[in-house]
Order: sequence, then structure tokens, then C-alpha cells
Amino acid sequence: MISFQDILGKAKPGKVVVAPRPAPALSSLLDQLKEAGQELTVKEDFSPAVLKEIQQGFEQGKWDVFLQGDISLKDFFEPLADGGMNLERMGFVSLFEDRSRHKLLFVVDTYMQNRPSFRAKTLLLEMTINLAGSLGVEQPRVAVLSALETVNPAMVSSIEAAALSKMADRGQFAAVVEGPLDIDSALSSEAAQRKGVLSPVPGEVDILLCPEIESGYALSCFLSGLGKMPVAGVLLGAPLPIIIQPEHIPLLHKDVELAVASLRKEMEW
Amino acid sequence: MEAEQRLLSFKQAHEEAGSLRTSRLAVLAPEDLDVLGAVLAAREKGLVEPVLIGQEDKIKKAGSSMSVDLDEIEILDQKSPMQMARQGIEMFFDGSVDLVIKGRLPTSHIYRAIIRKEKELGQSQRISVCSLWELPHQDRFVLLTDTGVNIDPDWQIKQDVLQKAAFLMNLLGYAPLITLALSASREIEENMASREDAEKIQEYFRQEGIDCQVKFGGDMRYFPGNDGEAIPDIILVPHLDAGNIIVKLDFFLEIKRSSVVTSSRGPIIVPSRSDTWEHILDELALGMVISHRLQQHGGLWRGALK
Repeated sequence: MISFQDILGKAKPGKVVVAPRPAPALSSLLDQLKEAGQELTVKEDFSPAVLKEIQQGFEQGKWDVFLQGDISLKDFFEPLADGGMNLERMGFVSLFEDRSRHKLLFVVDTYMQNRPSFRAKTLLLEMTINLAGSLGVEQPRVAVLSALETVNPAMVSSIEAAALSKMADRGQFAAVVEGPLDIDSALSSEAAQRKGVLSPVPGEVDILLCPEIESGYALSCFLSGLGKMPVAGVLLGAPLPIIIQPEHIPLLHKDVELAVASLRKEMEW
Repeated sequence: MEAEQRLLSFKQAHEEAGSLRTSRLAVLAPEDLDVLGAVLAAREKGLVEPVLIGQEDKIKKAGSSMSVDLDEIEILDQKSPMQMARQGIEMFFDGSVDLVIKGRLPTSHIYRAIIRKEKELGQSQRISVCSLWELPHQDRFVLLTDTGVNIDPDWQIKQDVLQKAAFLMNLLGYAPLITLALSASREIEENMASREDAEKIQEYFRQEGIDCQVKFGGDMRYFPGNDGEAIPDIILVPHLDAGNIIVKLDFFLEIKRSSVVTSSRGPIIVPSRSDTWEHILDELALGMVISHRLQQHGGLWRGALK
């Protein structure tokens, strides 16, 4: 799949439950989807009883996707975390439609973790590779980003990037992983060549793995805000397919998010 | 500072540079073909008279590979990159050149040479990199800092580099200034160091009466066409990893970029290793404008204006 249109054409959204009642902007968007045939249940509040009902509903196959309504993310996650959801194993992908390169671009982590540990990064990478696979991107090309393309002992991000890259060389990921790469080497094969980086990733990159949240969040905001690239969000590592409404992702492509959520099988991302 | 005319684009920088007297330009390790190509093109246009500092054989080889004759150009033979940086910075500070541009040597050598010189003169040893973006269809520059030196600056370092950046934007005719301190402060985690630093700088600038409004956030609302906020004049990045990733988005988006190292004597132009010679020529023109305007205002790179 190389565009949002492809995703919408190939994946059928499942049954959606939203709680609590969404704010007007999301609400009117959901109304439109409902008119187009989307099955949708609205729960007024987000009490422990409602959460329990939703979880049971998922077990019974009543719903396939859980959508965050009008509640702050902190308050939304709190009861889920109390119920065993591990926030440190979760991540968030900004999924861009890169029209100039005719492909999907996955940027991770753009929301959930401030400074993921190395172990958390390996998990984030695995989940994102699986997500890419669900969208038909097999053996994705991954750039592990840092401020430079060489390993600098003073910069942990460059050391971790090199380790991930070596893990991939040994077949520990179903992907071609290159790192550390600075963003110009990741995006341009010419820039990479000038810096002596010989790799199949530059210029052909599918996944950008960010060193930590300041880079990830800003990168996502700049690509959508300044670059005007269409973006959808995907939450990784949740116990059920959950769609959240973080402030850096416009509501515009909720239909794409619903379609993507329907492709998730057995916690693979 | 008497208000400068606002510089809107690289094109305008070329126009202004063309009206100035020829600058003497030190070129460090000039065997980089794009840098050398840009320098020779600038010489052709009468913008600069270069002094090439580096290994003479490499320089001559580069010249012959471009089929150009370097006979009329002064070459100072230096074997080690560190010596090239030192000599270039020495000439810059003693006034025998007006401008310095980096060729093929590690930028860290230039940093070290500047810091050493500033220390010798008893001046501020803090240096930083300011990157100017020419935004598409916006007729303006936006400055990002610190995109090169300080890996994980605390708030005091940040306010220092921000002041140097504010002075540069003032020179380019931008005032009053709005700074956006990039921050991933967000619903699930508001208390980020980047936000706390921004709040400390806000408070400090208020106390000191420095004319530079500071906001924080990561928002796309600040960009052209997105509702709400004005485009910031300066984007203060939280740290080097984030700064380096964001500043080089010219690989993806329709942005032109130029970076300079700040020193009390003026800007040192540091082209990116992936810049083409045409773009380096733009960077030279912009460097000339900054350098000239700095001379008009006392010749010493200061902090922001009160």
C-alpha cells in the first residue's frame, strides 16, 4: 500500500466503540462515517463500569476498535494502566502519506515515551516493522536517526542506533536497519554517498526511528505542519486496538486510522 | 540598534552582497569541490577575494580536476586540519580576512580554534550554530539554534545561544522577535525539561528587559497556513539530536538553509557536507551581508537587544 486511499480500499473498518462522548469536531466526523455505514457505539462516560463493559465486549467480539472520546489522554490512560496496560511497552507511529515519493512513511515514536530504553527501542522497532508488514511493506528499510552518521561515544542515540543496525545484520529484525543516520543521509542517497554511507536505506527509507521524544514529536509536527503531509496516528502495544486523539495528529484521517486498526492481529503491534 | 532593512531571501542577500566591497575570504580545506566551485564563482562575480588554507597539493589537484587555474589565488600551505582552522580563525580575528568558510575538515576543529581564540582575548567562550531557513512562498527567514555545538544544553546555555541568535535576527532586520522553544510538552507529559527551560528563559528575559517573546510547544499551528499563531522568528531547539533532525528537513521540504557558527568577531560559514555549490554561493552571499551589517553595528557579536 502506498497511499491512504490504498489503505481505505483494502481494509474494512471493524465495529467501533467510543468513550466518553466525543467533542463536536470528532463527533461530526464520526457521524459522517456512520452515515457511510460505519458501525459505532457511543458510551456517554468513561467510568470503571464502562471500561469493564468495553473490555468484555472485545472478548465477546462485540467491538473491534476502541476510540478515545472527549477526555484528556492522561485521564484516558490512567484506568487502562491500572488495569495492567504497560505504557513503557507502548509507542505511537505518525503514519505519513509521502506523495512525492509515492509511499507510506512511518515515524516512531512521536508521542508515548520520552526516552525509551534500548530494550524499549527494540520493541518499538519490532512493532513498527509488524505494522508496516500489515500494510504490505515487507522487509521495510529503517533509518535509526541520530544527529550524525558516525558513532559518537558522547551521544547515546548514536551508540544505540549502531547496536540496532548490527542486530538487523544478524537477522534479529525482519527489516533492513541502518544507523546511526542523520536525517539527510536517511532521506537522500546522494547526501549519504557524499558522507561515505553505503547502504540500501538512504533515499528508500520506510521507517524513521527517532532517538527520543523531542525529535519524534517535532519531526511529526514539522512534516504535517510545514510540509503539509497527510498524517494518521497508530498506537502500538496496547492490549486492544485503541485509537487516541493526541494534539499533534489532526482529526482529518480518522477513517484511515480505523482501517489500519482493523488490520491488527494478535497484538503484533 | 538602528533598525536594519529586513532581509527576506537569499536572492536579496545576493543583491545586497553585490553592492558591497569585495570581501577577503579564508577558505579552510578548500579541496571540497562544491566549496571551491562556489568560492571561485563568488570571485568571478567580484564578491570575494579568497585565501585558500590547506594542503597545497590537494588544493591544486582539486583545481585541475575542475580545469581551473588557481595561480592568481593566494594559497597558504597547512598540513593538519587543526592548523588550517587555527590560521583561518587567527586571520579572521586580526582582521586580515573579513569572512571564513569551512571546506572539508571537521567542524569541531573550527569550534576549538574559535574557543581558543576567544579565551585568549578574554571573551565569551560559548559558541553555537545558527541556521537560517528561507521558507517557501513566505518571503522571510526563520532562524534555528543551536543546531551544531551544545549536545544537551541547560537553560543558561540556551538563553545565551538564544541571545546570540536574537542579535543575528536583529541584524537581518527582524524585530520585535518571537521565539518558539520547541518542546514535546504534551497532554500525557507536560513537565518536559524543554518547557521548564523555556519558562526560565521567559522569566529571565522579562527581568532583564530583553525584547524577545518566548513561547513553547511543538505545534504545527506556528506554520504558514495553519490557523492561529504567527510564524516564529527563532526556533530554539531542545537539544542537538532534535535540532539536527529538524534543521535538515530541507531534504524533504521546500526550504533553503544556511548555517553559521557564532563568534564575537562574526559568522563563520559552515556549509553542510551535502550542499551543492550553487547553494554554497547563496550561503556566501548571506554571510557577507551578516558580516557587513555586523561591522556597521560595532563589529562585535553581542547578545539580544534590550
